Amino acid sequence: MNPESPVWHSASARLAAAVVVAIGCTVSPAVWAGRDQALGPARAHQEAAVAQAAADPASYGVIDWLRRMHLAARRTNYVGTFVVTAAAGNLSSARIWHACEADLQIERVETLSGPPRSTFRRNDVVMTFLPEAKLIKSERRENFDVFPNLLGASESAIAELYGARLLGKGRVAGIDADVVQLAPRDALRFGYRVWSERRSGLVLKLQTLDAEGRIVEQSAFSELQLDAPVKTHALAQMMNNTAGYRVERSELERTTAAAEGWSLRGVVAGFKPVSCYRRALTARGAEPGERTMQWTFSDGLATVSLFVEPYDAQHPQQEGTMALGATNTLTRRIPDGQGDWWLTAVGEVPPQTLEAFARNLVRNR
Amino acid sequence: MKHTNGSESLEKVSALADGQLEGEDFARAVDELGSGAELRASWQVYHLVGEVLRTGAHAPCTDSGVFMARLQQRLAAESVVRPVVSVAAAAPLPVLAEAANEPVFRWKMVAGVATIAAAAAIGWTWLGQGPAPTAAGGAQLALQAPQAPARTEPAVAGVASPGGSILAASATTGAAAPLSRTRVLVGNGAPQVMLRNPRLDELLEAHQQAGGASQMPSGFLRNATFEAPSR
Repeated sequence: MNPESPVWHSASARLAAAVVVAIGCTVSPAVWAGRDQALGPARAHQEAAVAQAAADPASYGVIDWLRRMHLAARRTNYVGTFVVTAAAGNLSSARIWHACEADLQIERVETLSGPPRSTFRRNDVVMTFLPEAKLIKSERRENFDVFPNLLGASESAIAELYGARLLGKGRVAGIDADVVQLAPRDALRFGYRVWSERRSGLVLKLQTLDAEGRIVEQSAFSELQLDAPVKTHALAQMMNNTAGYRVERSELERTTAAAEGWSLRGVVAGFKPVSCYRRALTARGAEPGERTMQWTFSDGLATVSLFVEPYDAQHPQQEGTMALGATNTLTRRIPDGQGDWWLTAVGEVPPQTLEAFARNLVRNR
Repeated sequence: MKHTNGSESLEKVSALADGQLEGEDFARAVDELGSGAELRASWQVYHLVGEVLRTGAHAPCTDSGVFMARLQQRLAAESVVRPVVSVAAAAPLPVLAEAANEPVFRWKMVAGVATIAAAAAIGWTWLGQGPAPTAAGGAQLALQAPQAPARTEPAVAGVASPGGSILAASATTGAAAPLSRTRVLVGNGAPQVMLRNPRLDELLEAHQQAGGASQMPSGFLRNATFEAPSR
């Protein structure tokens, strides 16, 4: 990664994240159709099922709601302004374009706050344009094949962890919506309140709630145009216009936790391991050969990543837990006979869940 | 409050912010700043502008007056962990000439230099520290306060500080003292912590890349533009 400007690290991070998730949204419907990866027939089937079920929203289960939301994110052309807010104030805002055509999905996200940044996604290819650094970061997200199995957690597992309840009607950005509460069945995860567009199910507003029902983060469209005349080829053209930019491709190095020498001695309820990578993270100025292990878990809705690297006695950091909106971070030093380790656990989960992960992480060799 | 020569005063503030004043001019400008709330507001704006021009981004910060008042209260209540440093912090700044309201103003100057009038940007909030962190609901501040004034002191001598909050400054000094458990709680429930760490931001990006919140249908919306302006 380019270390010259620290500003875009986080910026592109989150947009990239956004796009990844969008990608996740598009792929995961396959799970709902029973892991049928054939796109056309499966989707038509789902849509028919959704149309039938549309009769009585009050009877939907959590899976029905999630299915609708995923489908709507795939099928709708829209343009809107999106704002993310934490309890402490605004975090960020962006303008989002989404266009789809047959099997092609194109998205564009322009940040409206902070350093300028544009992220484009075409199916599984993500390109982040950083005008200030004249840099394009290009990625092909690998874990798409993993996504359907990721929820393997599977539908029944999510239903065991969360329950859905229709709260009533609401309006967001002038658009009618159903308000749905997704309540966790234990204290290891956050709850959500979703404003789902009445007709299609597209998520218009999402509130992340803690155990006391307080809003830790809210993300919502402040303005949205559904079925907007957004053309895929127009967005594709913008995505291909790389004149004057330097393109940087990043590859993810896959591994397994066992190969890295780590395991969990006890399962944290509901969370299954999803992926494990070795990354070269340079913000700390680590030497070129150093790698950090990233072990990611998910319960179907929330994810937790455990980053483990050798403890650097030259740059000691503070242990503790931090919160940024719905994302909590826990840092801890892990003692080891052969050299201490530094754990950073990150996830959209309450701090006690990160604690549970930190307690259960053990070194195998 | 000096209303005559209003624009001249603003010029002086600007020159002071740029570090162009010396000796008697400096003392007079500082004196004027101390007595005029408008001038202090201008002072903060100049620093904000400078910060943005230099770094292309502004560091998140809080209302310095409120923050410093609370900090003073807490410090008064808290026993001093590092007496040597705090004594140094309380010593009069040699460059400033004595003014009637100097003790009060000095704190405000420190705050004005070290913090910048906030827009809405937010940073990480400390929930707890140490091996058994308490998962507090409200925003608590883990702050090594005695070091903060010492760090920002040199900046008062006319040289514009590189910005960032007192908290961030103290966080970096905190990093240099690894296993220190010094902890001062400032405020409760109010958003005060502004910590930006490029390392953490990088991890957050990696987390979201690997599927952070990916399964929540609109998870991408939540994280879509999650900004983390670094200092």
